[in-house]
Amino acid sequence: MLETLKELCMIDGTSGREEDVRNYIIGRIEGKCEYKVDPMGNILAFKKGKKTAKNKVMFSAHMDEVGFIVTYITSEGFLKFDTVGGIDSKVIVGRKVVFSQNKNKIFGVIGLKPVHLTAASEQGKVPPYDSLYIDIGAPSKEEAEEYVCVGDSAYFVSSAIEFGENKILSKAIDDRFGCAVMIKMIESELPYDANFAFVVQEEIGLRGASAAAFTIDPDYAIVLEATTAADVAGVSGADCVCIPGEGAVVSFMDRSTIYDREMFKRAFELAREKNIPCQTKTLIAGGNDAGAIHKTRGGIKTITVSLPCRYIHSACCVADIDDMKSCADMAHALYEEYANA
Amino acid sequence: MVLRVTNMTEKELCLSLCEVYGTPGDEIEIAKKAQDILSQYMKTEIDTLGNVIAKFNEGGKTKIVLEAHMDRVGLVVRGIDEKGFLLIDKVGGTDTRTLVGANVVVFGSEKLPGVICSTPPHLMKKGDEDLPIDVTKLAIDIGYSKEKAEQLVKIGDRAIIDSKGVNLLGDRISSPALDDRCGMASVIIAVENVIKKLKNVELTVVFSTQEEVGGSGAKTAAFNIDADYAICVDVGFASDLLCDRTQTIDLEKGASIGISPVLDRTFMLELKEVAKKNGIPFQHDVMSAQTGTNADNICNSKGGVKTALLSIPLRNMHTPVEVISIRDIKLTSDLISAFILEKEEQQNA
Repeated sequence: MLETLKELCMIDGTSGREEDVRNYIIGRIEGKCEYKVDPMGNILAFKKGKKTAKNKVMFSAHMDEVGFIVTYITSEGFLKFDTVGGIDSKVIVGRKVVFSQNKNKIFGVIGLKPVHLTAASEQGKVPPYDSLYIDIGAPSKEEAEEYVCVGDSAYFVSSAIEFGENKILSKAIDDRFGCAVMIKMIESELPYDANFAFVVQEEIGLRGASAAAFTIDPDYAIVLEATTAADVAGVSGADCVCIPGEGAVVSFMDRSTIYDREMFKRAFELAREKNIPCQTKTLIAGGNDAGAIHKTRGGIKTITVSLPCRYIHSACCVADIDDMKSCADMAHALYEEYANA
Repeated sequence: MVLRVTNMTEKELCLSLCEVYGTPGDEIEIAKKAQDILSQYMKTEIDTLGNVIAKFNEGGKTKIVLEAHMDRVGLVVRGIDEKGFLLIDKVGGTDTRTLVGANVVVFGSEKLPGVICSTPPHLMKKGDEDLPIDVTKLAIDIGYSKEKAEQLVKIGDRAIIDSKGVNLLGDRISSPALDDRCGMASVIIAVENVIKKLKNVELTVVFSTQEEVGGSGAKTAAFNIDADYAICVDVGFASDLLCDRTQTIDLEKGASIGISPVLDRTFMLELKEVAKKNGIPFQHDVMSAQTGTNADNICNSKGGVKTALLSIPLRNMHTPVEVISIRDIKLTSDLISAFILEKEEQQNA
C-alpha cells in the first residue's frame, strides 16, 4: 500500500482537476470491478464479493487535494492566485509550485518582499495570501500568457519520502491515502459485495460525495480520510487531537458530522476484539465527506476511519506507516460487520 | 556557453554551487567544491577562518581581488524536546516567514530529512495569526523519538531548507543559496574569461565565510592580501510586485554598480566607463552609508583598499525561492572581465 500511496501522492489534482488521479485509479481497478464515471467525475465502483451482502456498504475517499488557481495575470507577468481548499498562508510563502497539468510543465515560486525592505512593524509577519503572487519568470503579461491561462491549477512541488521512525512525508496524503486503501481492497478478494466511491471536490465543500452517495444509495458508508494530528512541539494532552503511531482514528463528532453512536461504539469493540490500534479525536475539529454523505437521501449511517496526519494541507504532510494498516484493518472490520448486520 | 574547466554551462555551474551545503561557520563543503574548481586555474588555499584564497600571477603590478561569499543562510539546532522535536534558531538572516511547513535537511551524524512545524491553526487564538513568526517557537520534526533523535543530532548541528533549483521561463532560475552562489559563479566565469591573458595583473579570488553573520571571513582574508582594487560580488534587491520600485534594481539589466560613501567613487566611475566602452549593460543602486555586504569589511582593511560592489539582481532574498537571471551572471562576469583586461592593457601601454 505504501508504494501505491507514494504514486498517488505524486499525481497532481486539485478540486475540479482530478482527471490525472482518476486515470491512475481507473488504470489500477480496470478489470477488477465494475465501475463508471459519473457526470461530476466521481468513480463509482462495485466489486462482487464471495457472498452477496445483506446490506449495501459504500466506501468513500476523495481524489482531490488542496492547490492553487490562477485568478489574474498582471501586466508585469506575475500570476495572482487563490487557494483551492484551505491552505494557511504561512505554508505558502517561500514555496515552489508547478503547473503540471499545462501543455508545457512549468515551475513558479511564491516569494515575498525581502525581509530587509520590510517595515519594522511588519517584520516576521506572514502577508495574507491575497497579497502574494506566483512568479514563473515571465517578464510580461504576454509572455506569461504563452504558458499559463487564468483558471490554471498549480501544485506544491514535493516528493514522497520515507523518513524518521516508520513515517512518510509527502503532499496530498489527504486523501490519496483513502484512495490507496480502496484500490488495495478492489485488487484483493472480498468476502462480501462492496461499493467504492472515489469522489471529487471534497476540499471545497464535500461536493462529489453527495452525488456519489445519492447514486449508490448505500445502507452504510465508511469514509476513509486523513485527519489533523497536532502532536507537535509544545502541544500536549487533548490539544494533540490524535497521535501518529497510535492507530486508526474513529471520531464521535467533527465540524461536519455527529457520527452514528452505535457505529462509533461498535468500532472500538471491533478494535479490541481484533487487536487493531485505534484512537479517537480529542478535539471537535475538521470535517470530511461524511458531512455530505450522512445527509444524503433519507439519511445514511456513516462512519469515518482516518489516518492521523501532521501538517495536513501543506507540502509536507507526515503520517505513520503502521497507522495506514490499522486504518485499512479497521475499515475492513467495519465493512464485514455492517455488510452482514 | 560551456565553461572549459567545469564542462558546465553558466546555469549548471550556478545551480551546482547552490546545491552545496554551507551555513555560516560551517562552509567546508562549499569551500572544497570552490577549491576544486579554482585550483584548475589558480593556486588555492583555505585560510584560518575557512576562506578559499586563490592566486594567479603573483607579483603582477596591478593587484585585483574578486570577492564573493560562500555561506548561505540556515538554521542551527539549539535543543531537542521531550518528543524528539528539534528546537532551532537562525544562522544568518533566514527569512522566518518562509519556515513553517518547509522541508529541511538536518546535518546530524547523517543527513536527515525533516519538516518545520508550528502551532496548528486550530490552536491559534484570535489575533495570533497577525503575530510575527518567532523562530524559537518553531521546531523541526525528523520523525524520531527523543532517544533516537539525541543519537542522531547534537546541539549546534545545522539545517537548511531542502529545495532544489528549478528553471523558470527564459534565463531565470529559482533556488535557495543564490545569495551568493550566483556571485561565486560570476567570479569563476570571469576568471575563466581572463586568466590566459594575464601578464601584468595579479589576480586573487576570495570566496569568503560568514558574510551572513557580519563578514569575519572577508575582513580577515583582506588583511592577508595586498590589493589595489577589490570587487565584491553580491546580490541586490530585484524589482517584483511587492517592493517599492525606488528600492530595487531590475532583472536582466546587468550588474548593479553600487554607489555608496564606503565605495571608492573613482573606481565606481571607472567601472561605468569600462561598461560603456565595451557595450555591457549595467545599472546602479545607491546606498547612503554602509552597503551591508563584504565591501564594508574590505574597503577599510589594512591601510584601505579601493573597493567596488557589483550586485546581481535577485528576488526573494534569504528565502528558499530566490530568483535570478543567468543573463545577469554573464553580464556581471563580462564587466569584471572587461575591467581586469583594461588594467592588463594599461600596464602594457
